[in-house]
Amino acid sequence: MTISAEVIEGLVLCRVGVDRLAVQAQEVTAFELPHPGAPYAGVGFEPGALAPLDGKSLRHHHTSLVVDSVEVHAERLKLLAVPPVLRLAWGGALSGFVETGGLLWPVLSLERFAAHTVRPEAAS
Amino acid sequence: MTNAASPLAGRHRWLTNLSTFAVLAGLFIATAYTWVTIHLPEGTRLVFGVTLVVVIVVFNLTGDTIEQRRLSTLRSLGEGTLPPTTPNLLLAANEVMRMPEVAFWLSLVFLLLGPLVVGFFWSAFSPVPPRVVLQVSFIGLIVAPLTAVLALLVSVPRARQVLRDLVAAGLPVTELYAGIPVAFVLRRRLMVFAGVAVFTPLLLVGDLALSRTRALLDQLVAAPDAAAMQTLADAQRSGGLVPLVGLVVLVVLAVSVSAWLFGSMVGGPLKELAEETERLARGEHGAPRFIAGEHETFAASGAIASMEAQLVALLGRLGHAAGQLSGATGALSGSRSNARVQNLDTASSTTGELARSAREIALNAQRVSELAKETFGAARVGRDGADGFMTAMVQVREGNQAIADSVVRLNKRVQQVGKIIEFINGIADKSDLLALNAELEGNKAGEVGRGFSLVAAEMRRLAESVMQSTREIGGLIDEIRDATNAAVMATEAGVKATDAGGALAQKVGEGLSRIVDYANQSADAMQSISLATSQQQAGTDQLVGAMAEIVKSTEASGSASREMLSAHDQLIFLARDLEQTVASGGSDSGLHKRTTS
Amino acid sequence: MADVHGHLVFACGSSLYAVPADTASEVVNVPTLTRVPGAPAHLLGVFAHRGEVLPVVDLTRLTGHPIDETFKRAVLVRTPQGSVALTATRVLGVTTLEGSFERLGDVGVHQHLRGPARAAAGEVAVIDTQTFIEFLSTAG
Repeated sequence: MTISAEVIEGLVLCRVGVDRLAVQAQEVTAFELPHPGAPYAGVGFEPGALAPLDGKSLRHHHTSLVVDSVEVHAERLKLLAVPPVLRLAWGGALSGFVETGGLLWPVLSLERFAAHTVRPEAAS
Repeated sequence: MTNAASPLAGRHRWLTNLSTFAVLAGLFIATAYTWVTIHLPEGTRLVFGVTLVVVIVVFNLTGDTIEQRRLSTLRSLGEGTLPPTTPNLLLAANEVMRMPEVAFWLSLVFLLLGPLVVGFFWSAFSPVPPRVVLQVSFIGLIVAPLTAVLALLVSVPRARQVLRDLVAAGLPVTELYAGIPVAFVLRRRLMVFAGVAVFTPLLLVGDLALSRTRALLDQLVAAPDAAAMQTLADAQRSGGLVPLVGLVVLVVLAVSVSAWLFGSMVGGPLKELAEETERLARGEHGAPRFIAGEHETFAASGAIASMEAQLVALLGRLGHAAGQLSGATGALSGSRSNARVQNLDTASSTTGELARSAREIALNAQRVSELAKETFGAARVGRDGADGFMTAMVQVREGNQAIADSVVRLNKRVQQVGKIIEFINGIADKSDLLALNAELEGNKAGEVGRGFSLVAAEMRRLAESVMQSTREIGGLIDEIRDATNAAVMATEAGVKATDAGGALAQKVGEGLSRIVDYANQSADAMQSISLATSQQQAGTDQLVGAMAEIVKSTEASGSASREMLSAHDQLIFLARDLEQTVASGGSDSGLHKRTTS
Repeated sequence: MADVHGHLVFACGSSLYAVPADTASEVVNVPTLTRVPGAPAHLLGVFAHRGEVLPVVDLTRLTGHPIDETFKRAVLVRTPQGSVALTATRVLGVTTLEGSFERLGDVGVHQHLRGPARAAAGEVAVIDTQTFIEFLSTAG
């Protein structure tokens, strides 16, 4: 398996509790206030975690994902490949990792996440 | 109720006995006179004697009945048929008081009527010459007054005795004096008595002489011759005088007895009154005492009794006042009079005590002054000690601070050592890792890399031993860090403690400084006091001397005071005596004692 | 099966494991991990190492042994099926193992462990790295 040399541009860096994740900016159609029933990204780290009241909702068409806070990152970053053992994680919604500020961020594909949440059986 | 029980039993009869004897005496005189002077004709004498006896018996019985009727209350009291109440006793007393008078009148009437009745009956039953009858009938004119007076006079002592008995039976003296009407008839009585005493012998002797003369003349007239006349005259001269003289003697005796009795009647109460007034004058007063008397003497004794009652009342008040006076003077003698003498002694002893006290105060002041000096010295030593302590505390604090600084520096060093050790540990760890990877790579290289792998393994062991050492050193450093932290805290606490101790020591020092000041001041003050008390002691000694002089000089005054005290004691004694006299005089027992004595 | 190249023996918790030395590329100190959303519990996180994202697998969680998180190091295992970092509380070194290399179980991860092999330190479970990583990849 060769290391992918894909470059990614425009990321939304999200904080979820003590953890973090990133989504591609072009996938986010709107930032919204979280509405009841919207899935919270924290559940991916800790089952049963609850979204904060001042969280942000990342809208992607008809689906949305709630995070604690967001930060848009405009630089071009090398997208690191997902290790094979994590390819199926979260229904295969991980599209890679970026490294910025000395930290590693897992990049989530909202489109695939939406497909996963619409079809939860795909997650297993 | 028995008569014997009553002291008045039979008194009514005892009271009248003597008057009966007086009447009998009068009758005896009359009979004797008749016998001597009147020649009763032959043949009529029996009738005369019988008539005389009958008259005597009848008159006696009649008189006795009258007398006893006059004494009905007394008799009832004596027999116990009447209770001895004051009104009854007073009624009896009235009866008794009137009794001598009754006896007088009864005797008078008896002796006036008796001869008339005898003469009447005698002449009626016998042929008696009218002249003789007249002589017999009017003999009472001569004898009756004397007899009546005698009856009165003999009744009086008995009446008095019965009155005393009545008083003894419970008749109050004041009631007696108030309840009996007084007639001031003594002068009349005296005149009557004088008249009787003078005229009765005169009449008797005159009548005797007249009758003798008449009888002689009759005999002379009837005499046949001169010789017979001479014989008659001689016979008259020589004999027949004895009965006459006896009769006169008898009358004179009766008069004398009467006079004596009269004198007793008046003199007895007067004597008693004199005694009573003397007794009162001596102050031996009490309840009014009964002095039996009649008329004026009765009134006088009543007045004296009243006076005595008044006196008793007055003395009662006086006694009360005396009691108060006694109390007051007693208190006075207890306080002022004695106190005056005592005051001198007390003052003398007080000044003595004052002198001793002053000496003690002086000694005490000196002692306190010495103590203050000692206190001053001790406080100064204490202050110096506190100053030394302060210095020591400052040194300790500085030492503590130095230790704390050293410990902090040590801690820093240890931390640096820790960092170095950490660094060494990191290097060792990296070396270990490097050696491990080298070993792995050497292993991959096969036989070629085997030696490399061995060296790498050795390196790993070295690195591991370094890490082991650094771990141990780390542990030691942790311990040192804990220890130094504890030391830092301890030294900080020590610094704080020394700060607190320093502050305390400063306060102690200040306090001791103040104590030193105060001790100094008190030592000065005590010296002043000592000086002052020494001076005062001298003054007090002078005062003691002066007091001794005063005591000496007041001893004269003291004797005067003692005299005054003695006089006062006498006054108290008199007051008490007065009080006692009043008290004892006012009691009933006192009355009995006096009335029975 | 002769142990030609030897095995890298390491401890994880109370058990000893071994990987063939030719698949063990490196021993590293485990840096701060980045947790991955939706990852199974035995995947503690990832770290970047020489431009590569390496998932860290905790054997104690995977084998059901008492969890021991005092690991400081990880053994990088590279196979054509992928690379993983296995947590190690202690790395003993490369050694030649003796004994049999049969499957230790038929269920789960145990079907990818072989033994019982013996090293100087004791009994060792030998990880069949290729099937092991395939197993991890399919287990999700």
